[in-house]
Amino acid sequence: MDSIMEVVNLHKQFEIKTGLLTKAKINAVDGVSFNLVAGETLGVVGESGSGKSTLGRTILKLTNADSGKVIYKGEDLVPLTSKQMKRHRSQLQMIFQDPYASLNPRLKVGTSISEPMLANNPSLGRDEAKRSAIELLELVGLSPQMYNLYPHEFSGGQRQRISIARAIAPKPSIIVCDEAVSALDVSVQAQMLNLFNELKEKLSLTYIFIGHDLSVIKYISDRILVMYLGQVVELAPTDAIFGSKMHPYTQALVSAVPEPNATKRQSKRIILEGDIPSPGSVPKGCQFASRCFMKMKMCMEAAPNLTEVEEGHLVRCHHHARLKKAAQDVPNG
Amino acid sequence: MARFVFERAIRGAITVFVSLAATFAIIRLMPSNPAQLLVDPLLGPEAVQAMAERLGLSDPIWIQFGKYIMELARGDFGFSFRTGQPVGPTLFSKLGWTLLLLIFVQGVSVGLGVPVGMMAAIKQNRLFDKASNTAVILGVSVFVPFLAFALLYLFSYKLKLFPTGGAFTPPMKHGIAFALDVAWHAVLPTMALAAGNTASIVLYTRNSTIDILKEDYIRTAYAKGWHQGYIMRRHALKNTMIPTTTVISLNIGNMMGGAIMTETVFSWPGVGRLIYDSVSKQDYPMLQGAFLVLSITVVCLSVITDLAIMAMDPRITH
Amino acid sequence: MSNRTFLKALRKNGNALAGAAGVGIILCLGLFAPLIAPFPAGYTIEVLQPPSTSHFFGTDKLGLDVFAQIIWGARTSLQVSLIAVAVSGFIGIPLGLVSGYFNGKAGAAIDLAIEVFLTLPVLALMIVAAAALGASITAVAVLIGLFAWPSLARVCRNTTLKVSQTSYIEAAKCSGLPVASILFKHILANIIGPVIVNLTMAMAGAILSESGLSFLGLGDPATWSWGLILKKAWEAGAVLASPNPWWWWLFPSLFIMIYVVSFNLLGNGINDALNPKGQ
Repeated sequence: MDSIMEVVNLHKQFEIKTGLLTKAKINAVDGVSFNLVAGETLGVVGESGSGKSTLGRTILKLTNADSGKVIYKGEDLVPLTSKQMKRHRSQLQMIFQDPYASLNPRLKVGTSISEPMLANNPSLGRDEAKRSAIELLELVGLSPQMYNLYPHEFSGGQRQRISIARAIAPKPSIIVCDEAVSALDVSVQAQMLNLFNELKEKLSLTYIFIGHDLSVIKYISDRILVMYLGQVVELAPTDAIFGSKMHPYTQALVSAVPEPNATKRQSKRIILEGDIPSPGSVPKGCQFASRCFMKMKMCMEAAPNLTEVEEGHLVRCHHHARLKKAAQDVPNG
Repeated sequence: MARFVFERAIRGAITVFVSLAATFAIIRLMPSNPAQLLVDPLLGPEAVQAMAERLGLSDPIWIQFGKYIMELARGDFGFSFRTGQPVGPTLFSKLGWTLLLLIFVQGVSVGLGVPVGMMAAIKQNRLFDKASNTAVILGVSVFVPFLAFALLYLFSYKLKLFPTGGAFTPPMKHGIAFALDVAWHAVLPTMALAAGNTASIVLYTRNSTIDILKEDYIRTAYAKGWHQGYIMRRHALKNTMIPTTTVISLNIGNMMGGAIMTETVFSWPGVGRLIYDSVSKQDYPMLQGAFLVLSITVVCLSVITDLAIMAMDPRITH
Repeated sequence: MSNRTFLKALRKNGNALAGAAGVGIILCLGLFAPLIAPFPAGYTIEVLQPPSTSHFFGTDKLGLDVFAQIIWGARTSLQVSLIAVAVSGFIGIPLGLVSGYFNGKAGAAIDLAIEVFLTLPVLALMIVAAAALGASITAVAVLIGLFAWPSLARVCRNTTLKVSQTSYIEAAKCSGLPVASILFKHILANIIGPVIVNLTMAMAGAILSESGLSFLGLGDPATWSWGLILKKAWEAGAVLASPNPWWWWLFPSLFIMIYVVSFNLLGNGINDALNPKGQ
């Protein structure tokens, strides 16, 4: 397993205005570490407010991290200035959620695709850039005639294909897909997921696939990282997450995924009580304790560490030993 | 809240500082000899030399700026070319008249602008609203001397209702008689200067009232069957006044320009007329002093207005 | 919105059309001034003639044709307001873009500067500067531009703040585009509507300032401008004289009014066409 990127203890705080003059700090990304394996798709799930989008944006330096490391090709990206970052820019791309907001309404879609190629490789020349852009349009399943159209002439799915073409134009190695299919119709989602898989094979890409829909994440990911209030609560291969899931939060998330095969439907739906705590006032013990159905006294007092319970399976829970046993007792569904 | 007052005061201080720096830069960074500009041309080269030494023109520019601020802080604004007297006392004697005019103007523009703006919002897209919109466009577009001329021509020349200029009829009267005389003289200048300010108050009051009328608490009040006048006074007025007051505060600097022209046309004995006289007599120290007094006045007035907003807005106080 | 729907909306807007017509008339008068009437200079014996077929707007105390003064004044007005608006655009647009895009310390500093310049009694400051610098038409125009940028910068800043949050700007950052290209191509293209509205209205503001300065005696006395005509009329006591040469002060005033109202209407019209009701 070749690691292509390593994220070490990444922190990002935001200041939010709670009143006209008062401010609070929230930990959007709170000590996240993981390594990204070349060629894999790492799914990142969590509720809104869990910091998963901020994680993606911080890794790509769209916002600057407060501390921590993002090591790519042996170099820590965090301290780089935007000028120094330039040599990695084309390698690290992003696809955004809202297909209606992610294309500049004032630019022809062809320009949106060819411009980044020219910016990263000025020797390319306009004609050559245009030719490659047209090839890319075809690669993502659009027709060359669309080069000269404006975004408002396209449907949501088509726009997302254009965004994909733009992202793969500079020949990246890692693409962060931030809720890249969430805004689309379910029928279109399936096509897009297949397109993602197809491109990954053809262009040997690595994806960080951020989403809140666990069934989408399950379909596309090799490994899954579960986030809660800016922290990693579980990180494991997809099968393990859905098989021997351990963290109570992951259990709750998984139980909410509709299972088409009734005989396979396992435990009953776990419903979490309460909302995600206000990020300004995080509890002192386990951050999940306020909503956890397994909480005990120790959970309110001490924060659990992320522990490797088996090879490649990390869980942040005081009860991991008990959980592991329970997972082994129940035959996998 | 203390922090809001503090931030506001700091911003006011920066504005005053920028005014000082601007006047300083205009004089010192000019290609010609700044001493020449500040000395009465009739006094000859020795006086220019003396001024050059007083200004410390050979000192580094930061020292010069420091000295300049120290002199102003002591109330030393230089000497008038016309009278040879210090500029300071003249300025302060004129400032009262300008403040009086501004008070009249604010009174008229708020008293007229807020009700008209609210009415236009209630009657949105009806005749009253359209008429007031047209009046607003004309009002914000008006060239103050034109309005002043038109008022003079109509009310002084044709109808002979109001005096053609000045702030009172000499000899000076006393008590109530004097106050009435001044008020009578102030009618036309107030109208000339209030038009633009009223128009922008109408505009902002209308827009903010339209937003407020969509709020749930207003709809609830209507649903309770209260009548319109009560709802507007009890619920809408205070919330409308917050953005309106912000505009009043921002408009004060702008209004000073109008005040200069109004006072000029109506010979109103304030700082504005003084500016015009100093320009035509090329009395540079007086001009510079008048500008500084005006900008300090503007800063003080807008800080006061902002504090008024704060008093009205519970979101800031708590 | 596409350009075509925008133009359609603009053509349907009565205010915008009236404004454009007013702007067009003054533009023609200014451009073709030398063809319409000779530059008024010297004096004639036809003093204080009321409007007639030979002198549409009458004559002044020196017997000079007021109509000729006004059309030569139109030339000055256009020159001054164009230069002033260009200067304020060169300052205000980049400052607004930068302060909105880098919304950190630099942004806050620029925002403070905008706030400070908006509170200053700007006309008074221009008077002080014009009195010291002497008054050529260009100097006055540049001076007006130097103090007219804050409202433009504010509009740019506020709209840039919004646009910078969009994913297409994030995507542009991600593509490694140079900052200048993001600011002046990607962001500016998306805030150009409000910017044009503000620039149009700044034309109106510039001429109010120019007329004010000329009226107070700080213009170029050798170049006709509407403010200068009014200054001369007022100093000759034309407003209160009996019999009253009303044409001398009324017509130039009306032209200032037409100019300012036209540009304001046009600006409002463009704004309405950009933001159709119900959006």
